[in-house]
Amino acid sequence: MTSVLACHELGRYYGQVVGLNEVTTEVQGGVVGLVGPNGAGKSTFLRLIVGEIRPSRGTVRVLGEDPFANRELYRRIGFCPQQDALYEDMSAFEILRLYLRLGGFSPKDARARAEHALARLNMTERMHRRVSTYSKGMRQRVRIAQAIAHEPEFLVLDEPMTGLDPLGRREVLELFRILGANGTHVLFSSHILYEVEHLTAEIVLLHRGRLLAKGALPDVRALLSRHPRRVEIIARRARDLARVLISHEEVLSVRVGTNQEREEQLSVETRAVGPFFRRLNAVAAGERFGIGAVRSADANLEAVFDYLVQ
Amino acid sequence: MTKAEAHLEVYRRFEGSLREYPLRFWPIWTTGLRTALKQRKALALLYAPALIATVIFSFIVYLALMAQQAIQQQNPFGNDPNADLSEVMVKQAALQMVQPGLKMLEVVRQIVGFNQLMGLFSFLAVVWFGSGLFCDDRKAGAHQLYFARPITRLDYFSGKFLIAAFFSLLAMLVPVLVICIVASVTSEDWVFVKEQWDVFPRAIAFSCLWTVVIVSLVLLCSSVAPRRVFAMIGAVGFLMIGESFAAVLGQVVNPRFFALGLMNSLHAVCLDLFNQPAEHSQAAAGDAWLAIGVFVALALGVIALRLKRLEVVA
Amino acid sequence: MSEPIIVLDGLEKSYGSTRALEGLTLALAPGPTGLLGPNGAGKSTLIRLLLGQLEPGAGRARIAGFDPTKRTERLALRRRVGYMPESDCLIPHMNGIELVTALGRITGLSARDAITRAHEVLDYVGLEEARYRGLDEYSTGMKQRLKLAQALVHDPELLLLDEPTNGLDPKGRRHMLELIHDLGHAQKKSLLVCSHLLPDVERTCDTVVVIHKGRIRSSGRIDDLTRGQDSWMQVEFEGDPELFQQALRAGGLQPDVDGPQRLRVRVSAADGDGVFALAASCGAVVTGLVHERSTLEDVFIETLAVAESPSAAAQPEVAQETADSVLGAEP
Repeated sequence: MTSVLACHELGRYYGQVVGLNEVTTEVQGGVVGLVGPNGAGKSTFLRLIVGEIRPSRGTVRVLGEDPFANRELYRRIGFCPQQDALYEDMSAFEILRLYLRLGGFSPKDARARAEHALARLNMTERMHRRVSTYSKGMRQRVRIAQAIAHEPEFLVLDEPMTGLDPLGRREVLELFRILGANGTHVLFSSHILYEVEHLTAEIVLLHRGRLLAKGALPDVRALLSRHPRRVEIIARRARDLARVLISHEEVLSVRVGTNQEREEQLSVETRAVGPFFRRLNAVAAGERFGIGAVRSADANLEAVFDYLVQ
Repeated sequence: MTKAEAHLEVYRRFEGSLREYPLRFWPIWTTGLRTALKQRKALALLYAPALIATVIFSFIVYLALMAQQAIQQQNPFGNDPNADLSEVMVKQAALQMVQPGLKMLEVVRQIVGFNQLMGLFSFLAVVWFGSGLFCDDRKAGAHQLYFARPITRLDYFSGKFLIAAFFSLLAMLVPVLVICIVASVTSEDWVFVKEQWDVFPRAIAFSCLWTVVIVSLVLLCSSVAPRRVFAMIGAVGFLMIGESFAAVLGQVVNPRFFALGLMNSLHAVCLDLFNQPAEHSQAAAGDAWLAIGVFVALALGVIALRLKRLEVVA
Repeated sequence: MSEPIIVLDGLEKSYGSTRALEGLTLALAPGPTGLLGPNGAGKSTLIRLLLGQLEPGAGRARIAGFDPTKRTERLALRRRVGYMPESDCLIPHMNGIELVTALGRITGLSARDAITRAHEVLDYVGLEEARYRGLDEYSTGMKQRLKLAQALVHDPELLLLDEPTNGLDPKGRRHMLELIHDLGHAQKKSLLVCSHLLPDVERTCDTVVVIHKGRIRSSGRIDDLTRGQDSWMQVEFEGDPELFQQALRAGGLQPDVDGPQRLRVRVSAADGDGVFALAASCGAVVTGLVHERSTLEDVFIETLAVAESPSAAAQPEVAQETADSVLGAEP
């Protein structure tokens, strides 16, 4: 089974400036999130994937083929770039139809697909108005629509959620979910970590042009053994619980404090989450500490991101 | 025992007061000017010719005054009975030759001509420094910051106007005043000042009038054009097209149409202000004043409309 | 509530035939508030009104103590309000310190005060040497911080922040949200944070206002709005789901399945311990126990759904009462 994306020592330099530095990875498929600080190389990576630029060294293979100047492959890939570059005087419908015709579809087919794609992005009412009259959110929808109009196998999007209001974000995330469920592979980059986390099973994290991490979030977190896991517990008898917990070797440290709601809260650090939870359950079953809540504080993408990107 | 102190707060409240400026445009003017004056190369390029011209003209005026005085003092029919007749004849001949030139040496004429020349330099300077005043702000979105401050559109306009006016007057008024001062100082017994002191206020008036017209034109282009380059082209183009238009209409239809050309009108107004005979101007003085007045009014009107849109469309 | 900083009663504003604001009534307590709304809901019009750039068509208002129906007060109002625009807005050809100083002077600070304040706010937002560099060399993060600095230079009571985390990477976002949180809580400024990123709003604001089609649809404390119903709790666990459910039922709780290793249980806050005991009895290990809360996003979407329905009611009554008490009852 060919992986959707395979890079081997992929590098791209702009003169002396490094865009991407020896990235070797393989993405099997599904919905994948690409994250990283500004300047990490995300846009460079995406442009290499869709064949817009050529690698300085190494190779990249998309759906098994070299994407650069590969006409056939372009039909199977959809790309939604970050830059705002739409023909201001045309309507959304006209732009999509133009792109589809350029892609080789018949006039009738192009029209139908354009309408369908814009309908999926809830643009049916406004699709015949000129782009210059559109808000930022609408323009973003047009850009996404042109990426999906030809029903690609692999959809690549650079910051697709910018400019959308919460409703729009939800709609687009839902669209990705549906596309993913129907077998389309989706790769999108975003700064909004909680959205990436919600939607994707797999993440790719870039920093300074290098690949820092790749995989499912819990697995990546598990690899970061240098950083002990944090668990937050709200309990009425917080100090008593703290005293009991610290006496066990799974617990590295316990901090007692109050949270925003003035409830007493424990912040526990542990090297091994599994044994810790077993210990906690044993302790809590034996004695009533008034535990109100238990939460893993840093299993989320933002924490992982922080740990990796110093 | 003195107590120790630690000041860890990073954000301090502002204890002072916010002034209600009577001259709200003042900071807009000074900051804009400071920014514009950073362009050293442009300043040098645009004002060097003006500087050189001023120096040359000062010299010319100086020479003219010297020659004038020398000739006037010379009495060809001198009282010296021992004077050689041939000498007297030579001097008389020289005087004859120089007589027509005497008219040209008239200092005021020199000043008028100089003023017109400086007008060209000032136009170039205003186009360079003034074309971006409105459109750069709009393009950068800076109007959102300006109009979130307690200023009115008039304040904004005044500040910008004065920035452009500074560059215009620097090329127009300052050199002319320099020339006038040179003339005053070199004329014997301050004759120039005594007899022709009215040149000073006339020169100031014309420089200001010129400034108002040219700055209005450039600001009009700046408020309408989407980018600075277009504003510059617009200002220069407007003048050139206006002149050609006026020339054609003036020749073909009615000589009064010559006043439509801004340069023609300004030339006529200049001569009128200095009470010079209007043989060289194509437009009649009355028409010229009218044309200029109408133009400035229209330009300011359009600018006002554009600024209104700028304030509302954030 | 303590003296509200913004009181709007029945405000209307139309541009030609489009009604941007329609009978908008709002009473905003001091402190940090989020302003939510779909695109085109009237947010920009509301912001312009709060900046004194627009004269309201009808209705009464008081903003930071000023009456925006009068022209002189509209100008004076801007001394008490700071604005951080969403889009690019930095004055070209300047460096950071020049820009903040210039805007300070334009607002009315004396030359000396302006430069002192400029340096202070630039310290606060964290722009160190970068303040002496030209704006073309600024990254997005620096530009956003500079925008915040210029809004703070005159120490306004009320800050309008429009999409403050626009274009920022995770680190930049976190820094900006920390600054905003500090401004709203430690520095006790009144903030109106407009953002499409609801978790950002949750992190920095205590109250929230939802605007849609020119009217306020919902307002209130975030805690109150997102409080779950009936004390449901989410339990995450390792172990056999069937056995665990049986154990819970035996203990008198009615579990609902919420995921492969997750259940919802109706439990009072104090009885978390009971869940642990029941888990121990069947060999399950509880790894998570939290009160179910709706997210702000759910609240937002629900508010809009209600607003779209034909039976959309008048605006929150609390606002009307407060508005009347501050502005005086309608004659």
